[in-house]
Order: sequence, then structure tokens, then C-alpha cells
Amino acid sequence: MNQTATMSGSIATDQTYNDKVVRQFAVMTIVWGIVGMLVGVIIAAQLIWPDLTYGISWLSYGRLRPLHTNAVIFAFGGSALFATSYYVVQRTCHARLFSDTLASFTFWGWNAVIVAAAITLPLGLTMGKEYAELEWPIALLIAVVWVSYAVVFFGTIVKRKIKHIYVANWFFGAFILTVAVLHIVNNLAMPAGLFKSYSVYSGAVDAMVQWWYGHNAVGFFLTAGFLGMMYYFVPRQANRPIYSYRLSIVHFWSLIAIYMWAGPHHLHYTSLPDWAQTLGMIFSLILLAPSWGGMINGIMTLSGAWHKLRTDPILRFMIVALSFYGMSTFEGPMMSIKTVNALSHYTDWTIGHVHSGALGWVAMISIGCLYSLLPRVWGVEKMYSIKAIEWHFWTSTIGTVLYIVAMWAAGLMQGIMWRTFNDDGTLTYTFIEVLARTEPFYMLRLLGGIVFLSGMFFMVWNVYKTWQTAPNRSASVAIPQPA
Amino acid sequence: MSSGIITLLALLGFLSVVVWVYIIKRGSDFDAQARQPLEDDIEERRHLDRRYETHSSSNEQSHEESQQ
Repeated sequence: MNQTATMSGSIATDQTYNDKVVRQFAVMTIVWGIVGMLVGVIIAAQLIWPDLTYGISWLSYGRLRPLHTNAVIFAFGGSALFATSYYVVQRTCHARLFSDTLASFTFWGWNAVIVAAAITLPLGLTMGKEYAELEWPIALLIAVVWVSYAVVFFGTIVKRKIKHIYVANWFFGAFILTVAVLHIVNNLAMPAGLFKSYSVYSGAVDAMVQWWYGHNAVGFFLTAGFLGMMYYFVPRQANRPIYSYRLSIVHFWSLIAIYMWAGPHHLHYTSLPDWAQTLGMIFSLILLAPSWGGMINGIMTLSGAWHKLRTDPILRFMIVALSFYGMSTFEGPMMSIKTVNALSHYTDWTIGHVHSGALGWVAMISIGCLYSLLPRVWGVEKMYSIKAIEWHFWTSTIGTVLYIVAMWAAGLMQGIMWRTFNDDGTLTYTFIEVLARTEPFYMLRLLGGIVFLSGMFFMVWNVYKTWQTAPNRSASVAIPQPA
Repeated sequence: MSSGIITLLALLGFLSVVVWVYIIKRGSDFDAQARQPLEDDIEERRHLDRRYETHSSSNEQSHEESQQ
């Protein structure tokens, strides 16, 4: 506080950026990242050694798995999105956040949600909807926090001093708006006591609403928001303007228009009407175009600056993240083709696909952006150790590759074994035979997870040292004033 | 019938975005926008230097670090 006061001097608070909430969310991104990834490693081990947690019910796979997904998506990914969106919207609008109180509420509210999730999910309290497990009181708190987030973000856009709304803010804005709609519609439920509720939907409609939510959570939470990060931090780190600003506008409108319809590919060969399945498949295939348009726009931003990849591991994090984004957005449409899906569905290929996106794209772009953002909000030029970032880069990359290769191989093997028949029409392999053959791949996957997680500890040390050696870490940054 | 009309309108909507972005808008406007994260960075770096100057105690060390 003292430092802030001396630094600001005669500058009024509203003439500075609110970086406090950015710092808070950025640090919690790392904390929740480690928690979520650790739970992931534990459940990966449980798939090899089912008795690992001695049959304690609240540490069983079925309860820890939603804890892992919620922690990595909403706690780690969510905190990264809050931190970067608050940072970017202020810098590109030349305006302080709309309300400090409300911004602070989003931080404490969001973390309260995460803690509540970490308590209720192991207790087995769940709505049973994938990625929307949290029971109605927590779901309600999420809705309140999210609406506050929208008010802070769009309020800042409204008071901007720069006429044009920078493209990163379009992506962040679409992400905030869509997640609000998705969350509220999918969680409509009738409470039956404090910890129990029933969804207002039933049957195939419930499944369709769930995967309309589920796939758009991928599209808007895990894609649009992180593309917002990409459009700000990649040009800044590369010190090059965006390859094509025109393409970024076409990218934005086509991505948000098409993503909304791809959800039914999660329900191929179920009781969902066949036409809806085909619709989901076709829109998933079309989705390749905007996805790759965005990827190319990000990677080509480096044109003329490729040599920087040799010396800058932060930039390498971002570009490798974009490469994984390109890979998984090619794989996704391919897997949505019904004939391919007949092989891949319910196998570990799906898990491999998800982690190519989650580890390769979401985690690596977030980590890269944090390394770019953290020194700046603590008032220093760069991170304490570039060498440690280098190590983190290689552990992340190797961990991700080990993980997805293991799951691809396991998935293909499972799919092929499950569809092998004897001449009399009976199955050639029993389920347990397939499972036994999967074990070596599960070992490899566990190793990949451990390697990826280990990189996070380089980050913790590096971030701590950066914080410790920052001479004036809580100073506020003045908003540039028009000359 | 109605779904065909909606599809057509969606297609026209997309094409009008493309026409607006690539033909109607001036390229120079976009060039300025594409540089926005960089302008911002220059501004912040300048500010960073000022910040060091006002804090003489830890000044030298941090300048050394930033030059590495």
C-alpha cells in the first residue's frame, strides 16, 4: 500500500490501471493449475492401480475425475482468463476497470466457487452433468460472479478512451457473454433440498442441451477466450503486428457463428435424431476453416521474426500452443465424421484429443501469456530466469506428446479390438482383455502427466523469484494520456 | 422452406462481413489496429523506466537485470 501511495504520487487512482486483481488471478492460476494437474495424475494412476486410495469413497475415481476437470478448466483456465482479460481490456481501452469492488468480488467469488467444488465433488454431491456437476447453490453463485464479470468487462469497454475495440476484446466479450447463457440454460433445475436438484430437461432433450453446453464450453471457454489471449500476447511477445487484422475479424465472426451448432457430435449413434447428428457433423467439419484461419493468423504474426523462437522460450510456448491448436482442431472435425466416430467413440482417443487441446493449447498458451504478463504487473522487465522457462517449455511439450501419443495408440487399439467379431457374430475380445492390453499405454500416459506437472514447479520457483526481486511490485501503472 | 431462407440469410451475413472487411474498409485503419498491442507495450516500457528512476535504492540492480 505504502509503495502504491508513493508511486502514484499525484496521480489519482482512476488514472492508473487496476493490476491488483490481475496479479491475484495470475497467481491463483498457477496454484489451481498445480492442484488440478495433480488430481489428474492421481486419477491416471488410479486407472492402473484401482486400490490406490484404499477404497476411501471420497477419493474414488468417480469423484476425483470431476474434481480434476473442474479444477483444470474452471479454476486454472478460468483464473488465466480472468487475469488476462482484465489486463488486456484495460491496456487496449486505456481505461481502469469499470469497478474495483466488483472486480474484487469476481476474484473472491470465483475462488469461493472453486473451494466449494473441491469440497462437494469428493462428497459425491453432483448434478451429474459433465463439466456442469456443481449443485444448484454453487451454480447460482457462478451465475452471480459471471454476471459481475460481464459488468466489469463490458463496463470497461464502454468507458474506453480508444475508439476501436481491439480484436482480443471481441473474443473475450464473446466468451463472457456465451458462457453466461450456456451456464444458465444448462443449469436450469428444480431444487429438492440444499444439495440435490433435478434438471428441468429430460431424455434426449437433456442430452442435447448438455452437449450444446458442453461443446460450447470447449468453443467459448477453452477456445474463444484463449484466442483473445493469443491476439494480444503473441503480437506483443513477437513485437510484430498481427499478420492480418482483416482475417482476425472474419475469424471472429465465422468462429462464433459455427461453433454453436457442433455439439451433437458428442451424441453420435445415440437416441438423438439422426438429422441432428448429421447437422453436428457438418458444422464440425466447416469449423476447420475458421479454426485454421485463426491459427495461421497467429503463427504468421511471426513472419520475419522466426529467429526469435531460438532465444525466446515464451514465444515458443505460444507458437507450440498454436500448433497444438491447429492439430486438435483438425483432429476434432475428423473425429466428428460418423464413420470415424464409430471407431473412436468411447475409446481413449477422445481423451487424447481433449488433452492435445487442454495441455497443448490451453495450458501452454496460458503459461506463455503468464510469463509475459507477470513481470509487467510487478514492474520488472522480464522473468527472473529464462533458463527455467526453457525447462518448463520442454517438460510441457514432452509431457503433452507422451500423453497424447499414449492415448492415440490406446484408443485405436481399443476401437479395433471392440469391433472385431468371430464368424458366429460373437465378440472376439472381452472387455477385460482390452483393458489388460491398455495398461502399458496408461503407464505412458501417467508418465506424460507427471512430466507436464513437474514443469509447473519450475514456474512456481521462477515466479516466486521474480516477485521477490521486483523492486516495486505493487506500484500502479499510469494510463497513457492523450497528448 | 423457412430453413432455406435462414441459411441464405446466414450466408449473406457472412459474405457481407467479408465484403466490408476486405473491400469497403480502408487497409490503413486495420494496420493501425494490428499494432495496438505493440504501441501499448512501448508505452509500458517507457513507464517501467520512469518507475525505476523514482526508486533510487533498488535502481541499479534492476537496470542491470533489464540489460541482460
